[in-house]
Amino acid sequence: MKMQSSSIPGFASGWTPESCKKEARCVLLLPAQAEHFELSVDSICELWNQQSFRTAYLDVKAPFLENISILENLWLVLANRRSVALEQIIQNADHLRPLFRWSENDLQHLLSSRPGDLSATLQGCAVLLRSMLMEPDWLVINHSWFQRPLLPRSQVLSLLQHALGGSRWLLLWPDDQSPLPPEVSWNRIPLEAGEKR
Amino acid sequence: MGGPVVLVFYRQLYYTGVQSAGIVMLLAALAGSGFVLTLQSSTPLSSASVQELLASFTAKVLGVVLTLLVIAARSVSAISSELATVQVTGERRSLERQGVNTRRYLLLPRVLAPAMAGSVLYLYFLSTALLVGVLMSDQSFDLWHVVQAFRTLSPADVLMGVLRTGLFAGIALAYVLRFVIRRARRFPDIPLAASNGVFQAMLLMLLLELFYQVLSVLMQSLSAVVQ
Repeated sequence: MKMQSSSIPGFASGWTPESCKKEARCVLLLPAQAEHFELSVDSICELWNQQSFRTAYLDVKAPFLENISILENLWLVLANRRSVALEQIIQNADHLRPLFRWSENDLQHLLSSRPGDLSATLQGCAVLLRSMLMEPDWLVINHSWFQRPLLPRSQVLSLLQHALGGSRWLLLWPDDQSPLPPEVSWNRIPLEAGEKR
Repeated sequence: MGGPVVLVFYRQLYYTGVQSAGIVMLLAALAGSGFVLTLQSSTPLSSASVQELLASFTAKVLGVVLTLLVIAARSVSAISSELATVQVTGERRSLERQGVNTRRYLLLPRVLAPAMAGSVLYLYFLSTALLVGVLMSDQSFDLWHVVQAFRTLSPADVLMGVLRTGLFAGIALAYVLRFVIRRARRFPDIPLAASNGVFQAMLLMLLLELFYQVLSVLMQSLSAVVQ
């Protein structure tokens, strides 16, 4: 996949998303105040989505539209980047089924349910499934994914490592001295002097 | 992203165009029969004149106004509360963070589909009002009279009615989705957004229709003066 090589305003000169080596685990510290943090996440996501690489986003807050099924939710995001049919999504999801130890019926139930009908754990799995189906170059992770996990943290990390280990990760973390998830060696992304995005 | 947008478009088309057809036709039957019976009981007009008046009045004003009011009451309220919920729960923000063009997915099909469905509903309204009105006016239940009444319709009036209903419904929905929904910040704002949406859509639709009627009267007067 062709990657853009321009540097991004606000980041230290010479640093670009594609200058990160594969499997890089990056962390970006953002303003801790909730409103500023959310605005910064909006900007970062917009910036990453403008690039030519494929990005998946992990968050626990409102991850799906409540009035359509999980399958349509997956289709909505996946079809945004490339033309993909619903049947293709079901097939691809079926390939990933063993990872979650689901039976065919479990997967069918998940895909046909609306988000509100699922437990928090299943919703978390559905969010992970969406990211895996995206086959992203970059996985952008909101801090809530680790701080208010829908799944046990060990399970999240093992699933992430297993299915999305080849992607670059970008963790968006509030700059409030709270400890980063310890199981991963995070590289802090350099910002321009005095710049806090 | 064409697929999901098209799916939403069809759903909205079904919701507004098919599921609202019954209420539009019921309203048309009431309006048509009421118009005819009132006119016949209060004026010495012949059945043919009453039917002609019904055709003209329904095609020019009644069909457009009542169809727009049904769209406002049913579709605008449903779409407003749906999108206000999406806004308040943060689902919209989440979609945008995943790179989904929310204007294209959330707004476009919810404006275009009711606008298209509105044009079709107008035709339902017109046909039903005329059919019921004619049958009530002479009470002979002669289908030939119905055909005659339909032949008195001016194609230009019908075409303008179709275009106006679709256009005004689309404009009102676009306005509501652009300016009313975005103000919803907390859960108590959702019913408020829905009721404000309906009220403002109705107001806008009626003002546009009034503007059109005034404009057409002015144009007629102007052409009379020129001649």
